Amino acid sequence: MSQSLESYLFISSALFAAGVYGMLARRNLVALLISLELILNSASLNFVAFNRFLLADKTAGQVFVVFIIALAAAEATIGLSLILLLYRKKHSINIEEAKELRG
Amino acid sequence: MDWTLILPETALLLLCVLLLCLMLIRKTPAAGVLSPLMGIATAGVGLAALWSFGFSGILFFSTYRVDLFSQCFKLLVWAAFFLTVFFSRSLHEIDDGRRLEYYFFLSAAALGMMMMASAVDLLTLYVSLELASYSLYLLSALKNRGRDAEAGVKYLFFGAAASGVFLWGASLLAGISGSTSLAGISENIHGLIASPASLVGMIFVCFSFLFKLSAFPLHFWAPDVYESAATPVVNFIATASKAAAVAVLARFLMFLPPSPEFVRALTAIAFASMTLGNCVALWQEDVKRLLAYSSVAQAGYILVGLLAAGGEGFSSAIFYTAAYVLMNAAAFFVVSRVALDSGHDNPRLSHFDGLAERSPFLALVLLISLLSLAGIPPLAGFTGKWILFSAAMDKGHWFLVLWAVLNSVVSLFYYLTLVKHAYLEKPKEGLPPMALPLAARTVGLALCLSIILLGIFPNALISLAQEAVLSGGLH
Repeated sequence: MSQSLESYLFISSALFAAGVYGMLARRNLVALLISLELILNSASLNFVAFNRFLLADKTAGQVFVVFIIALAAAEATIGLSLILLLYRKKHSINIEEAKELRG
Repeated sequence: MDWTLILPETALLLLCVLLLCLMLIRKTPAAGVLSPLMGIATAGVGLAALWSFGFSGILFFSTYRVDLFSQCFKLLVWAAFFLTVFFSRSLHEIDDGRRLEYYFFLSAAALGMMMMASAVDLLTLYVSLELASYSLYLLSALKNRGRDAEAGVKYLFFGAAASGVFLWGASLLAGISGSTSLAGISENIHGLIASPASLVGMIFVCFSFLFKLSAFPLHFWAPDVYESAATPVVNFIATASKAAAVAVLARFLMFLPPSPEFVRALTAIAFASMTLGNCVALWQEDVKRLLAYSSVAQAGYILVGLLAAGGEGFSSAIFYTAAYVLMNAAAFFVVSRVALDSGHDNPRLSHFDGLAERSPFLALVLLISLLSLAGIPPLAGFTGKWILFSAAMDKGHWFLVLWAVLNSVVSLFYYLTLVKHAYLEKPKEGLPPMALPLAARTVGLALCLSIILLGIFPNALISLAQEAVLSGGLH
């Protein structure tokens, strides 16, 4: 396997596309949260790949990725707590059930 | 390092820490004590923002830039924050036990928005954006009854997806230019500005801020969140969050002059936002939803100024944003009073019946704010639209301007429907006149006067905005 920038970008694009597809197609809120993580991780992969091959300052990309990981954890916490709140009210975590607001 | 440069941020951070400590003690002060304390603390932050007005400097390894541009937006965010804290005095939609959390997230969001105005590095931009967003997600779900969680979940998922897309675009821009600072990117990207990768990067980076601005393809969250969040929170989302998004978009487009393709994409977004916002607003019965769709349309007008770019375009966008914060806050002021009076969180058009008889003052505030939103002279909204559209005309976007003017006419229809309910309809039998405390009266009067004065004497603010644009650019 050659370790070129292109192969990393290819994988991260595929991850990104899978994440966006999941956001659009899945109806389960936890599945949506997982798709969200795929998008964030594809961005992280992009950053480390660019960091290895192109970035002038070799710390910039790594620092960025550490921040992405930390903020993604915070995001998952908030997301799960809101999902729990919704579950207590509706006894479902399917987004189709959250349909009272329309138009 | 000079700490006075970031005085308003430091003050807000201290306020957050204080609120956090109070939360840890688990002893919530009575609402009668907490509201005045928050008022004083907010006024202190305002003094700090005024004190550091006009300072300039570059901080934290040149990721954070304090200049006239950022300070103008910080004052604007502060004004929205102050009004929100003021509206929260009569907040019945949130339990007393959750007041501390409420104020904590409000202050944290304001801090994030102030940081957004100063951020000149992709990393600072990301962190401050998320600080503001996460607080807003929680705020929009922090209501003790109703359908709150649903809107919060929708807001979170749309917002998080938008910031994921932002990150992906940011990684592309950083990769192409080899730098994460906006200055470094704009230096290295010159030859590549029209390349597909940088075009995709720029559009993706703007995605997140267009989401905050609730521009067309990313507006889905706005009506739901406006409908189900507490009124002061909606006011904060509708004013401060929009101002911060305009700050970042303007700064970003100043550093990276958009290619013709990118301008075309923005034109399409502005076009669609205005059309959709105004057309759907015509059918709304719920006043908060009506204001949500009106904000989608207003996002379109602001984009007209941003895509015109140059000194004129950006300064007119800044002016219009300032006017927008004032008129929207005035509209939400009336909505929150009517909601309080009717005991109904989501006042419908019929709740405004006979407002002029029951409270002539509130009806006048409503009239001025709505006419200004519609762009009737001599109010601030008219002057703002005038300079926005003339800046865009100078750049040759005549079709877009023509469309925007037509849209303003359409918008007049639904704004006037609300005015008609307030002035021409009879109040329901037996409703007493609405009492208004002195403090509320003063704030309403101040908002009205500033809208009128900005409309008649706009020159001071326009020249300030022009200086801010000069200071906020690359050189």
